[in-house]
Amino acid sequence: TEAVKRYNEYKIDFRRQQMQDFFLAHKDEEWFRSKYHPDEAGRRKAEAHSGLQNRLNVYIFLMENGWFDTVSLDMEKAQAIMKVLDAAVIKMEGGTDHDLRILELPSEE
Amino acid sequence: EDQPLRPRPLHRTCSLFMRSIAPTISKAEIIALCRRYPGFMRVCLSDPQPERRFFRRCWVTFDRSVNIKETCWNLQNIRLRDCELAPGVNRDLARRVRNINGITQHKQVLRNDIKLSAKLIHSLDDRGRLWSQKARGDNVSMAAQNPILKNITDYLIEEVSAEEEELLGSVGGADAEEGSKEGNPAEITVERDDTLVKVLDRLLLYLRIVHSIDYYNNCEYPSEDEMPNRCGMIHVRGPIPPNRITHGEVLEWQKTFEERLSPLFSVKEKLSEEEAGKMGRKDPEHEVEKFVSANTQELGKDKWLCPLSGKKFKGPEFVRKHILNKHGDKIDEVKKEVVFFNNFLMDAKRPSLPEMKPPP
Repeated sequence: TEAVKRYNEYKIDFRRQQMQDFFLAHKDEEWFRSKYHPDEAGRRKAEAHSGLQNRLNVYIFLMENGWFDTVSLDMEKAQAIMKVLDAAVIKMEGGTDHDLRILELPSEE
Repeated sequence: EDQPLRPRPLHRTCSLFMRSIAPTISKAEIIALCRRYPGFMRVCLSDPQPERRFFRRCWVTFDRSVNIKETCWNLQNIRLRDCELAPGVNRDLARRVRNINGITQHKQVLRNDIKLSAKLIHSLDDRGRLWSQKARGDNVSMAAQNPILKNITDYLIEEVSAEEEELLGSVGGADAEEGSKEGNPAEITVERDDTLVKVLDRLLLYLRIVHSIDYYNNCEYPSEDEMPNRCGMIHVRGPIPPNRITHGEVLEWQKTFEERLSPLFSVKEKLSEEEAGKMGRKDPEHEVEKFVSANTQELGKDKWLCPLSGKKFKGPEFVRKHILNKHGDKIDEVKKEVVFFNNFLMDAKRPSLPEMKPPP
């Protein structure tokens, strides 16, 4: 089974060649660099982390201000759930307590 | 106070959708183009799709107050590096709250979901390095605990009045769920426990708001933070099933649910050392050596050139010393390229051309 052995080696060579060709074809593209290049991937990771931290602060704000007290994740609470999600987005965008009041006003659209 | 009189509708946006953006186009280029239009907020690009020549989908988000149709029209015939943007207006989400099977209201399922979601939070907090405090000189680097996980196990333990029932002569501690297993009419009524609901919902809202995980839909909404809706859709418990359910159904539900949830736990998979060797992982020191010798040129007897600086030396060892001392930035570049290549190689789920059949 020398033939099998050779065939397996050939398969590995083939896969390795394909992988290297792919690297050369895409190495200058942004999506590829932001996934694997140490500088760009590090920058993207840091951005993702600060985004996550922002969302965490929003959750803590909503919890401490009683936004979750009257809501439960049941279908009949759909309206109240949407209001909580909207409040979360307003805070994620850097909204103030004043901005949150828009959820109490009748919609203009 | 310079606070605006009317609160701002920050939760509402309008947006454009572009179906295929070439992989050669960068996010910065799209931002530079769209920033010229009023109310521009952000750009989101999907991961490239191998089956569509690595083209990406793109969403451009604007303030609610702009005339989005006009913006869309103005961008209609614009090309970026030969790629037509061809934007369309992205509609608002129609149904943001959707329900799944009401069996999820059952006490036993609620308890199981507390366990699973707590586990998920633990793993995602870890991966996102939330709550971890960097040790500053101290030797103690305890990860601060996420407060919503505090005492969570208290709700996983079942409390029964077994002794009281024993004294009153009822059947030895067997509760409704136990009884049904024994063969009797194997049906139970869905029993809701509001204390458990309250605990569970805190966890599920945490997953949804912080980590963009829609627990009851077993999925993650990746890069939601850049999408037009930063917290768009959520799945919730449906109404209590009108009929009684069987114990088997409960177990079956829990089993399939856990299976569907498991991909959310998976961390990035890496190749084994052996496989990495076979695929040709590069050694940084070796690549640096290659770089040095490629830049050590012999011009004649006792005459060596460093093409990086154009300086001449009496022997190769002097060129080598010179490169290592004076061209440290180039050496660092070489090392980074090695890491770049190896990161790609080590990724077990690395992108590749689709449907490459193994050679015949």
